[in-house]
Amino acid sequence: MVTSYSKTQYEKVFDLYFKYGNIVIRPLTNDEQALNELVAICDTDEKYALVDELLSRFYYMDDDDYQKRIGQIADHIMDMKYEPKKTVVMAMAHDHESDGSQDVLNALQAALELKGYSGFATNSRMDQKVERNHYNKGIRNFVIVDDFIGTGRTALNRYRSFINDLNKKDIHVSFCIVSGMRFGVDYCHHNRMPLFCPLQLDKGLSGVYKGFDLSVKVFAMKELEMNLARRVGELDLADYSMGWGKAESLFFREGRNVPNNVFPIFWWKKYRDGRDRKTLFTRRQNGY
Amino acid sequence: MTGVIGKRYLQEDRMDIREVSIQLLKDLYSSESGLLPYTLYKRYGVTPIVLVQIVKKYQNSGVIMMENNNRILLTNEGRENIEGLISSLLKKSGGQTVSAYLSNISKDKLDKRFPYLPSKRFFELIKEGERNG
Repeated sequence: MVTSYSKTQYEKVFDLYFKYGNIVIRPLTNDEQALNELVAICDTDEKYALVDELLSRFYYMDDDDYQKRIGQIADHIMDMKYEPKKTVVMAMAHDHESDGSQDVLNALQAALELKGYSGFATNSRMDQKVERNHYNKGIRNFVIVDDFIGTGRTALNRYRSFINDLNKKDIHVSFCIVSGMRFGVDYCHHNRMPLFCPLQLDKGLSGVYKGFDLSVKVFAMKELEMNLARRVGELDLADYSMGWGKAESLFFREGRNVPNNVFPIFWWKKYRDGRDRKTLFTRRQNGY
Repeated sequence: MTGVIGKRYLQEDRMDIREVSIQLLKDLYSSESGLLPYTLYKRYGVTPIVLVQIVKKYQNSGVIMMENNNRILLTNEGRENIEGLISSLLKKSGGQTVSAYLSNISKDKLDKRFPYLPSKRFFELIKEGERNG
């Protein structure tokens, strides 16, 4: 597809790619159409400045960074002094769907072994036969891992369900999540959920602005969202406005599914008129 | 006038980054105040992303620099080493010798009075871009 550029659009696309080329182009396809389309919906300088600003604050986690965070989690688990033979490390996945938590589990078990922590059990789901498979075999320490925490509501619900379902007094449960939103982590801590999260991020707009300045930015973002389809599959844009749970996330891990807590202008795949939209980041989830 | 000026590197073509690089270096050599990215787009149709890749490559090696107003310039080092740079690019593409190439730089420069007319398609694309905002 040939794109023809006006001077303004060319300069904007050039500028964004020059500054944020590491995150705005999918390495496998080198597809610049997504960037062109993002710039095209910025019909005022304020909206373009907002996109520019948000991209400048995106946290882009590459593989080296990811491994570093996995190492921090491994250190944390070892610091808890759980006896390996009485410990299971479980992915937070709760169904048969592929999940980022299983990725963490794989990386973490290698990191733990490397640090000399051996003999622990693993489980790629946290919802199956925990009593029979683990508790009845002497496991008392349950470390549950995931890749990203947004609002914290899902993690807290899983924690509460797990405690209630197992219903044992002599266990320790601890969550370790690679990255996430600071307000989500605080929410879990406030509800007495044991959680370790080595990378905590502030909200993309309300973590930076207050009062009138915040209102101006939010208004510009809502106007940008007006370009997006009200609904894609089973997903309502209203639920994802400013990111799921209004999380305002600016996070992306190299080569992975973008969290739904990220502002939808970066991943929502349909325009308001139903046309397909090329997006900077890719999201796959059921019903979308 | 050779066929170099006006040659376009649109997305639909298989872009030869080396060839665009030669053109870019050559144009920067001829320009003391530097060039805007859009100027290079107008000349060669090079996409923003390909242009950024080229600029970053030569910026990292100290050959070119970007000014705050986004003008692309040859550094002193780049200007001094232009022969070597173009020579290595030409060798890789199996083209003419550098001395022959550089001697064409002054010839290729457009005379102000030259009635240069880009292709009709070129104007259509520019207009289309302006309509798109």
